[in-house]
Amino acid sequence: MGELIRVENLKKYFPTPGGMLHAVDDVSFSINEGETLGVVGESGCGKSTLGRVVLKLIEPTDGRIYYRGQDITDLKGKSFAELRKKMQIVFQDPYSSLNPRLCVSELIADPLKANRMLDRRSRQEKVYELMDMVGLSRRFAFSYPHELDGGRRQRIGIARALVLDPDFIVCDEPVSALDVSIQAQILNLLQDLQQQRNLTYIFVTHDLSVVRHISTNIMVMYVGVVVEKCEAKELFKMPLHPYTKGLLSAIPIPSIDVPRNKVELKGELTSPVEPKNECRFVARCKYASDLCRSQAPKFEEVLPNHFVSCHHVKEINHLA
Amino acid sequence: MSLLEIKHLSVQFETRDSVIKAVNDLDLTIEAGQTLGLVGETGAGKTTTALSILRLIQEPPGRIKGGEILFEGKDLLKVSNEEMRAIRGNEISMIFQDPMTALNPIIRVGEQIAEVIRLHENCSKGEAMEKALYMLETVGIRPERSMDYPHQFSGGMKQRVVIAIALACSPKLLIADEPTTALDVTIQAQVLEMMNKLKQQFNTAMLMITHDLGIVAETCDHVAIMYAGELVEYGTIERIFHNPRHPYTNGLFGAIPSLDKDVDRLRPIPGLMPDPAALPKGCKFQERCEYACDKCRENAQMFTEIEPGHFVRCERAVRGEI
Repeated sequence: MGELIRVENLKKYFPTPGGMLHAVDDVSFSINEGETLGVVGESGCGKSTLGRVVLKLIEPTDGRIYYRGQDITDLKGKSFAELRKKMQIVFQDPYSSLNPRLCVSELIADPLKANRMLDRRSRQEKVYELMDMVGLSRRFAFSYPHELDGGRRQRIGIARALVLDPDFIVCDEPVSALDVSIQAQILNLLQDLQQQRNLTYIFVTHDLSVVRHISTNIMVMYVGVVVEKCEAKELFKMPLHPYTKGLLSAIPIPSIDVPRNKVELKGELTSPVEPKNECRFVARCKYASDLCRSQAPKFEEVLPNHFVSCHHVKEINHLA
Repeated sequence: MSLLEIKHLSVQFETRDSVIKAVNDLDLTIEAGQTLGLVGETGAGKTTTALSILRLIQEPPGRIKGGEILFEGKDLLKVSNEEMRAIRGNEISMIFQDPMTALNPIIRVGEQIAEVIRLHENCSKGEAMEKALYMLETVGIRPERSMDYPHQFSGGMKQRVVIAIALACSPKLLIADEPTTALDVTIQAQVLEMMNKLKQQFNTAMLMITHDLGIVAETCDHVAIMYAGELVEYGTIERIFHNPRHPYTNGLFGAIPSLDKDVDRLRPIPGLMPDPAALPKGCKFQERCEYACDKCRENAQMFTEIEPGHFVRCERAVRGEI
């Protein structure tokens, strides 16, 4: 399986009255075809912005984006419109991301219409085909979003993303607005579709158990930077960055047999506006030293295919 | 005598063309100082139950059809409005889900805390403010920030302010309606730890409404699982987590992705909750239950004690067929 998406030194800054807000700061990664990259972090860490910049829904401030080896960063006009069909997004909130005045069938056909593809009748056929695929009964074809529950609405969102036969989809918290029993239905659907159509996902979420379940690799973000990246299971078995450790210990575990974790992370996210040249995690880190306060750590491969940005990662984890 | 005893509570919402049965014949008990977790999906009737206790159901369209809510032996459904006002915020208080909308945006947070103290305790403005500052400190906010407005706080800090208001009069019962759903995990962990600590400090009983079994495991003594307006299972936390018997409870556990085990496919509960305006005859869970038989479709299920303190509303589970 080849590489589908590669991102190099991607940056997205937003101007604010207080200075530049570094939403995404120097992020690099690549995803192989058919795999899922999970992106986790707390609200405000830049994970959604990252998903959108990769799709060029917002223009990057700096850095390059490659799709199948082709540099698409400055692609515009017709050739970009062609490419857009291959890169789609599923939004977080199925309550606000669907036009309330269109019925299900119109919603799913919308991307086809926008691209002037197929005639009316084949569009309708395609709509039914997709409704079957995402598990939406055909009797809802002329229902409006407000008549459906959250799970069904999210199925519409997925059908819309699939209708142009993409091979890359950014899933931006697709299950966080849903109940657990429905959440499991949608996660299974996304996995089935991935296998059937060899889809590649970026899966943005704040829910660590969901991201472990669905991802091949996981990237942990903190205030705009990636602090740790490795294979999904390894992250949970052997988290190396102090932030990842704290994040994992904060998850309430649905079992009464495991000892309760003490709260490790105090305080809240630091401001991403005009960050100083220091480790972004320094204010909440119990290992912080003068070095951490004077220099941002590099993102380095500490173990095979396990990248961490922390000055003291070796001492903390007793690695040679 | 239990602190709170709900007996046969039924609440419905009457609209022009249908009657929505939100809570049906619910029994629930909370002992002093204990925490009961009320778990269920959206629309199960958890929040309606909580609002009924405080008599905050909007009427119309809502209506408490029957039952009793005994708080220290007194039926809250029968007391006068005035008495009820003296109880709300003083003896029973509530933490709402969304701290962004629970606070008044144009009143300084210190004053919002002092307000509830002034209302319920016979004290001067100055004394109330003094206690408000103490409460802020208790929830981990520097007292200097009492002059700030809600928008100057982050989500986690706002929820701390809401908790300070709820605990200001040392209530005997605290109702927490998904208190951490709007917060990030690391902030959630801090807030839950603080709530656990304060609950002990103030010896407050708590009704914890949540859909997250992880939060239940960390905070509760007893668990009640609610489905379509009814309790389907009730027991101590050990019983529910080690020996869940109702197919719905088992389904809930199976639907959560695990943090340490590898599962190729999740086992979701198929289908959706029945429309509360048209509940099926017999067991409410029948359409989604893999064990449903003809009897389940016919007979209403009884809430039966299968071992001391462990109740299940499923005849097949009671007979040990599942």
